[in-house]
Amino acid sequence: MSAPIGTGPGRLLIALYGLFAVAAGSRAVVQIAGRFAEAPLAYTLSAFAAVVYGLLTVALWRGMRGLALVSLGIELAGVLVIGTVSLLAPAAFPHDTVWSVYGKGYLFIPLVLPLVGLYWLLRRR
Amino acid sequence: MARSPAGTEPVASGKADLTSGSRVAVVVNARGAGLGGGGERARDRGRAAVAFCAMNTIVATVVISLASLLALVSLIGAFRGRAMGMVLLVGFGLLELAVLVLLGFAIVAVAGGEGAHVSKGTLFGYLVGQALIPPAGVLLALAERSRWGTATLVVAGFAVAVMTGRLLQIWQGQ
Repeated sequence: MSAPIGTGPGRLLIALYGLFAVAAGSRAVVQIAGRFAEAPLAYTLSAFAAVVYGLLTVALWRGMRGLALVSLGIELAGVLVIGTVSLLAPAAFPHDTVWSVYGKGYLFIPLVLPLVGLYWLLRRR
Repeated sequence: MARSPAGTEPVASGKADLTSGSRVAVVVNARGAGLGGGGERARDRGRAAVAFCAMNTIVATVVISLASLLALVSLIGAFRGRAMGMVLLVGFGLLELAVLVLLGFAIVAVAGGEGAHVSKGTLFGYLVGQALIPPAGVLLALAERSRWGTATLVVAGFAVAVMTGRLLQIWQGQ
């Protein structure tokens, strides 16, 4: 259980999650500050996703395995649920979030990343 | 018109043959928008502003080419299991310089009254954000002296290329 999670391939995950935290975060700030009323649900979700990505970056960096696992679970659940809802009821999401259509606007990285992250954390016991 | 002298293009295209296809598309795109969208305002302020807008596009094109090339070199290095070497270190230093020059051009352009259609928060969010990416990537690559450090540089180079491409679109009002 004591294998470091923030070195080796983990360092690449830190870079990706850090980038996504900043990208989703600044997007959420612009959306919420500028035109929150247009799509409050989508914009709130953008902000929520940014917080999860930020938590993951910190958790991997500091080697906080528990927090990283919880955040990865939330992220995976989020991208699956929001992805499905955005397909079945597009009217609920008139504006895209990071998780719309399983992260299609971001090369599906939001869908692949939590799977890779969970594999990385659980690979050896 | 004094925009984008044709002579500058062959010089740039020798740099990264692999990305030349997309880069040419960007240049052509930018030209179309510059002629159409910027036309009315540019006439008021004369030819200097038009030439300036073209410069901006050229610098952005250089940034995209260099960032794509660096991402590719990093990818090859990561596959070969190499830690970041001097070539990538210097390359990302040059990329940082190019990004800062682009930021400078954008500040002057906005101060000169261009880009009234662009949200300033978005514009400078992108510019400042991508100025932070090369140093962050290099710091991670220095901390991780393995192929995974080089792999973070793939992410950094790709991110800068994509963000600059998006920046050009925003500037053209898309």
